[in-house]
Amino acid sequence: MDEQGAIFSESWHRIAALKVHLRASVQVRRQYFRGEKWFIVHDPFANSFLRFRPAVWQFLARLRPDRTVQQAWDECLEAAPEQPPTQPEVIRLLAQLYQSNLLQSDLPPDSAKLLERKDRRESKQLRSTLTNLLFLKIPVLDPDPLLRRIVPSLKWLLSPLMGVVWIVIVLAGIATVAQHWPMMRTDAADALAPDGILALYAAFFVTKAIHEFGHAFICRALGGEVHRLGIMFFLFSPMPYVDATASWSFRSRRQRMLVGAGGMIFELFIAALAAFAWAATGPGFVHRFASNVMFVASISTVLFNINPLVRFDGYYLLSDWLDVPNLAQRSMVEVKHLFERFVCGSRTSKSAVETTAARWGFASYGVGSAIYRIFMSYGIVLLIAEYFFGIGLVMAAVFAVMWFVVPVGKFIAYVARGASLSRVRGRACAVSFGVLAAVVAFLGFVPMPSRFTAPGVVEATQYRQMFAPVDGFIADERILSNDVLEGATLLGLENPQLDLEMESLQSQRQEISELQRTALTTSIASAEPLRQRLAAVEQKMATLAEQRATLTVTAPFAGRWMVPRQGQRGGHWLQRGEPLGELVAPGAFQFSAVVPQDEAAALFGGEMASAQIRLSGEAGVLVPAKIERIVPAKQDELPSAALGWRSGGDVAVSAGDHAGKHTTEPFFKVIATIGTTDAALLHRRTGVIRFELQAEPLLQQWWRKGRQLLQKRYRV
Amino acid sequence: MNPTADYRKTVTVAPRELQRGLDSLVARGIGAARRSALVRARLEKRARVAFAEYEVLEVVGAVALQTQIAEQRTTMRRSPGNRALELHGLSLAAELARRTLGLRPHFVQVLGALIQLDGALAEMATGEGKTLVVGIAAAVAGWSARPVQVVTANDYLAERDAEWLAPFFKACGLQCGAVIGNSEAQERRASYAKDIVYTTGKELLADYLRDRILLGAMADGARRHLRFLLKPDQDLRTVQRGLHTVFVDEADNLLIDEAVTPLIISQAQPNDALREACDAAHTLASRMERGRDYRVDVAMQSVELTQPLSLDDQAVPGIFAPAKWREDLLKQALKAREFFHRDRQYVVDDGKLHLVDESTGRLMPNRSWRQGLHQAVEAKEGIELSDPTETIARMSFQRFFRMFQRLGGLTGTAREARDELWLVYGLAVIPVATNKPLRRTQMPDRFFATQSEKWSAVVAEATRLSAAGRPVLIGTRTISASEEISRRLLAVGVPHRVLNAVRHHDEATVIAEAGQRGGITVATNMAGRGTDIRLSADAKRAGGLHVIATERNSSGRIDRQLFGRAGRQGDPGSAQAFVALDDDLFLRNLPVAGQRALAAILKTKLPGSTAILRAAVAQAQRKSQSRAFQQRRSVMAADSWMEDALSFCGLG
Repeated sequence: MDEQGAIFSESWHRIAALKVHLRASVQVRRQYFRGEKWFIVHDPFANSFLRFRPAVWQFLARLRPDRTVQQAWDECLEAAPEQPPTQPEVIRLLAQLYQSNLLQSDLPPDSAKLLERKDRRESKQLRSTLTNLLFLKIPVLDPDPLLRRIVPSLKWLLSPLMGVVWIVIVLAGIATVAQHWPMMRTDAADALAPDGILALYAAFFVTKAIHEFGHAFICRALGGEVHRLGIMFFLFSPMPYVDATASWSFRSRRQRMLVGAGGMIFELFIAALAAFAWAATGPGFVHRFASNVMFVASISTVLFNINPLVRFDGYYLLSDWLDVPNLAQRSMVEVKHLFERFVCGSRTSKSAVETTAARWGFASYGVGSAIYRIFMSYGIVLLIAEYFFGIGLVMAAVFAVMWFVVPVGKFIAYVARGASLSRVRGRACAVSFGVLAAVVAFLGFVPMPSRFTAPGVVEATQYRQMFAPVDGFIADERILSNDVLEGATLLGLENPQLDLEMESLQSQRQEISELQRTALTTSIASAEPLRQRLAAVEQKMATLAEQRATLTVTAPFAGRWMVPRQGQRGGHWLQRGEPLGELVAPGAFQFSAVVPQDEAAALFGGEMASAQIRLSGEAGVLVPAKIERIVPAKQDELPSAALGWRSGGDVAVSAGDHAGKHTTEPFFKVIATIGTTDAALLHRRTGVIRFELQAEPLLQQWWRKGRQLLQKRYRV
Repeated sequence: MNPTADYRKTVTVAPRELQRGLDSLVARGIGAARRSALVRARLEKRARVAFAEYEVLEVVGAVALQTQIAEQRTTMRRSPGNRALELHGLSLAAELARRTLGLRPHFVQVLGALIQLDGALAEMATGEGKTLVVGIAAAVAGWSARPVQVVTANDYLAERDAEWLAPFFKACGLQCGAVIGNSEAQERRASYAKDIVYTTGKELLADYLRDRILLGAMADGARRHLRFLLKPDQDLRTVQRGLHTVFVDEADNLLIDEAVTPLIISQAQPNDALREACDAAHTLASRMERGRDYRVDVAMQSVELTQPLSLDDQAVPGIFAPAKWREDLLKQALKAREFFHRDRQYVVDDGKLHLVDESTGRLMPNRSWRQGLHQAVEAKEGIELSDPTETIARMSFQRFFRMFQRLGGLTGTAREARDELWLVYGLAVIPVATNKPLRRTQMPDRFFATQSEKWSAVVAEATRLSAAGRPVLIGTRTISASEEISRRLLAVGVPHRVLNAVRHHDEATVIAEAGQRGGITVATNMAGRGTDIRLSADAKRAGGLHVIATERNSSGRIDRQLFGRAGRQGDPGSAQAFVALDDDLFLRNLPVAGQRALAAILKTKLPGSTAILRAAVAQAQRKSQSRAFQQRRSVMAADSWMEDALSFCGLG
C-alpha cells in the first residue's frame, strides 16, 4: 500500500532518534513568489539551492543538535496543528537535504557510503557530460577575485543615468541600422558566406565574452559571488560562460532579473556601438567586424537569449518575472495533468495550479517549448550533419535516438505502465495509441500532394544575341523603345579604316587597269598576271563592300531590341564580336528550369502531374506551365548567371568561373511552356517552377527525401 | 573470535539495483542462457564426475576417508569457491551420507547439491529426498569454514532435519545446530557458532536485525577493530557470525511469496491518542454508506470520499486535528471495512487479532499492519485496540537474501517465477528430473458458474472417491473456504478432518492420518507444507491420494504445490482443480466483460469451451503474477531508495 498521503511512515524508526540539523554554513533567505512565502536554502560551497514552504521550514528550523527528529516533529504538531509535515514528508525532506550535503548528524558518517556517493555523483556527471556533448562545459578559472577588484570601480555602470544612456545608445544604434538597411542586407549575406565563417566566429566569441561578463559583473555588483568561468562547447564551437547562479538567492526579484538580463544588456550596447562604427566606415576590416558583431548579437538574442522557450537567459527572465521558479518542470507537470485529466479522464489527477488562466499558461508554455525544442533539435541535427560529414551521420543518429526514440519510448512506458494512469489505463492507451496510429496511418497511407521546386528563367522562344559584325565606332545609335520590324536598322557603325581601305583598293584597281592597257601593246606576256591581280583586288573590294554593308545592323526578325545602357554608347569603339544587344521576338516565352540531379528520378519517372511558376517579384501570381521537354543530358552551364550564387541565386557555381554560370554540380534543364497569364513575362526574368508530382503518402515522400539527402551528402 | 572472523561477520554483498528498461531485457537474456540446456548438460557432466568418484569411494576404508576429509577441509578453507574441490567434496559427502544415514544418494541428488553449490536453484519434485540434497551441499560448503545457513520452511523441519543429519555432519567433521522460534539468545549464539545452522528465514533475518541494532555504528568492521584497540574489554557479542552461504528450501515460498512482507523488530508503545482517534474514525465510518459517501476501487484497493468531511465530523482528538490526517484515518477505517475480512486476512483469537498470510493460509504471529490500519480493523471487530508498535528495525526477505555471497535453493515449483528469481536474486532455475517416474494423473479442471455449484460438486466428488477407498485432500485458499467445505461435508454426514490456521493444534496427527484409506482432509493450501502425507498400504492399492483444489490460485506454482501432494516418490495419485467463474482469481484479474464472456462460454458447453476457460485461467494467473511482481519490484525500488536516502542514519 502506498505511503502517499499517509501520516505515518514505516521507516520512521530509522530517523526518529537521530539528532540532525542543517550545517552551519548553510544560508537561508526568505523569498516571495507570487505573494507566497518560501525559504531558500543555499549551500555556498556547492552553490546549490533548495526551496521550502514555510510549513516545512517550520520543521527544519526546529532541528537542533540537542533534539531528536521525533522531538522536533512533536513540537511541530503542537505549534502548527493544521499543516504539519507527515512522516513520509519528513523522511523525503531529510533525504533530500542529505543528498545535497546540507545535513549534519550526530552519527559518524558512513565513509564507505560517502565514497560510494561520490563515485556515483562523478559517474552521473560524466554521463550527463556525454549526453550534453552539444553543450559541454569546462570550468577554467575562478573570476571572483578579479571581479572583486574591478567591480567597485565600475559600479557607476549600474546607475539609473547609465540606464538612460543605454536606452539612447541602443535606440540610436537601431536607427542607424534602419537608415542603412540595404547595406545591412548585403553585409548579412556576406557574413554567412562560407569564407566569412571564421570572421563571424571571432565576432561571436567576442560578443559572447562581453555577454558573459555582463552577467558576472551585475551579479557581482549586486553581491553575488561568481566562482566559475569557463569554456562551453556550444555545438562544438567553444565560447565563454560564467556561472552567475548565485543570483538565485537574491531576495529581490528585480535584481535576479537584472542579472539574467545582464548579458543581453551588455551585448546590445556593444552591438549599438558596433552599428555606429559600421555605418561610419567603408569596406574593410573594422566594417566587417562591426557588422558581424551586430549580426551575432541580434540573431543570438532573438533565437536563444530572449526566447523563453529554451533554457537560456529568457527562460530565467520569464520565470523570475512570472515569479515561477522551475517553470519548465512545472509546466510539464501541468501538461501531464491536463493529459491525465482530460485525455485519459483520470479523476485523481490533481492540478498543482489554482487558477484556470495560470493552468493554461503553464500548459501552453509546456507545449510551446516542446515544439520549439523539437524544431531546434531537428535544425541542430541537420547543421551537424552538414558540417561534420561522417561523424555527423553518427551524431544525427544518436540525437535522433536521444530526442525522438527515447521520449517516445518514455511516453509509451508512461502510458502503458505509469502509476498515475493505473485507473484509467484503458482510456489512456486507447486515446494515445489511437492518436498515434491515426497519425501514422495518415502519414503512411493518405496520399498528399508532393512537389519539388527548381529555379529557372523566362526566355523568349525566339531571341538572338547580336554581336558587332566588324570593328567600328557606333555612329548611329537608335533609341528603340518599341518593337521593331524585320529589316529595321538597329545600329549604325562607322569604320573610317574600311573607307580608306576601299579607296586604296580602288586606286590599285585603277593602276592595274592602266598597266593592262600598256601591256597590250608592250609586253603581252604580262597580261595574265595582271588579270589575276585585278581579280584579287576586286575580290577584296567585294569583301570590303560586304563588310561595309554590315555596318548597318538590321533586325533579322521583328522583335524588341534590348540593349544595355541604351543611348549612351554613341561614339564607342566596338571590336568585332562584341555583344550589341539582344533581339527578342515578342509574344512566345518559355521557362528554362534548372533541376538538381537529386530530383531526376521524379523528372524521368513520368509521374509529373502539373507545374506552376512563380516569378520573382510577383510571388502572388501562379503562372500555369507545362513541361515541354527535358534536355536529356546533364548540363553544367546555367541559362542565366542570375540563378547562380555569384549573382545571388540558389545554385552553387564554381568559384573559378567569372561569368558565374558554371555549376558545381550537374543539373538537368527542363523547358516548360508558359500558359496564359497576366504576369509580366520578360525575357531573363527569374522565377521558381514548382512541379506537382503524383500524390503519395508523406512518409514515402520523407523517406525519399531522406535518401536523397544521404545520397547527396554521403554518397550512400 | 579472531579479528579476521570478526571483520568478516559484517561483510555482506551490497544488493545491486534492479535493471530497468533495455538492461532488464539483456539481464533476462543472460538469465535464459544461465538455465539453458547447455548449462544443464555441463552441470550434469560435472555431477556425473562426482557421482562416479563417489561410487569408487565406496570401497575406501574409514581411516583413509577421514584423511581425505581432513585434507579437503584444509584446501577448501583456503579456496572456498574452487569448483574442482567442490566436486571432490560432493563425492566425499555423498559417500559419508551413505555410510552414516544408510541412504544411497541418487544421481539426481548429487546433481541437486551441485546446482545449489553453484548458487542456483534446483527445481526438484517433492519427495525426492530434498533434505539430503541440502545436507550434502551444506556439508561441502561447511568445509570451507564459512558460515553456512540452511533455511527450512518451519521450525519443526529445521529441528527435524538438523537432528536427522547430525550423524552425517559429525562424520564430515562438522557440527550443526538449529535455531527455532523459542531458542534463547545463548542457544542461538551457540548454534550460529557451529559450522552449519538449520533455521527458518524469519529467525535468520530477525537475528541478523537484532545483531545490527546491537552493533549500530559498529557494523563497520574497521571501526570495530579501532574500537577494540581502544576498549579491548568491551565486546560486542553478536549472535550470528556472518552471512556467507545460505541454502533455502522451498525457496519460492520465501523468495517470492513472502519476499516483501517485511520482518519487523518492534516494541509496543502506548499511544492513547491514536487509539481514541481510531475509535472515533470507526464511529464516523459506521455512519457512512458505500456509494453515497465513498467510492471503492477493488482493483487498486483504495477508497475515495465523494465529499469532503463536514464540520460536525471533525470531533477527532489529538494529533489528528489536521483535516488531511483526519481524512486519512477515516479512509483507513473504510478500508478495514471494505478490504479486510475475518478469516481471510485475519482471524480473531481470544480477543486478539492475528494476521493470516493470504497465499499460504498460515497465521503470522506477532505481525501487525501499519499504524492506524491495525487499530482500524480492531475497532471494526470491536476488540480492544492494541497499542501501536514502534518499529526498531525492519527488512524484507527480498533485500536480506540478496546480501549473501552464495545463495542456493531448492524447491518443487519455481519455473513460473524463474524470471523474477533471476532478476532479483541472480538465481538460475535448473530443473532436475525425478528419480522415479511420476505416477500422478492430472485430471482436467472442472468449471462451474457459481461457488455453491462448485462446493456441491466438490463434496460429491470427495464422497465418491472416499467411498472407493482413496484418501482425499481438499485444498482451499482461504480459511473461510475450508470452513465452508467442512460445513457442507458435515451437512451430508461425511467424516473428515480440517487443518487450517485456526485449527492447527494437531497438525502432525492430521497429516499422519490423511494418508489412510478413505480419509478426507480439508486443508488450506500451505497447511502442513514440507511434511509428506504418507500413504498406507491399502490406500496405495486403492489408487493413492487424490487432491482436489477448490480454486485455482493466483500462481500456477501454488497450484502445483498442492497437486504435488499426490503421487510422491513414485506413489500413485491424482489431482484435479474445481474452478468457479466467481473465484477471486477471475474477479481480480479479468475485466468484467471477460468474466461475462466466460460465463456465456461455460453455458454453451461447446467442445472448445473448456480450452477457452483453461486459457482464461492461464491468462488470469499470468496477469496476477506480473502484477505481484510489479508490486514486489516497486517495494524493492522504494526499499533501495530508502536505503540510499537514509544511509546517513546508519543501518536499518
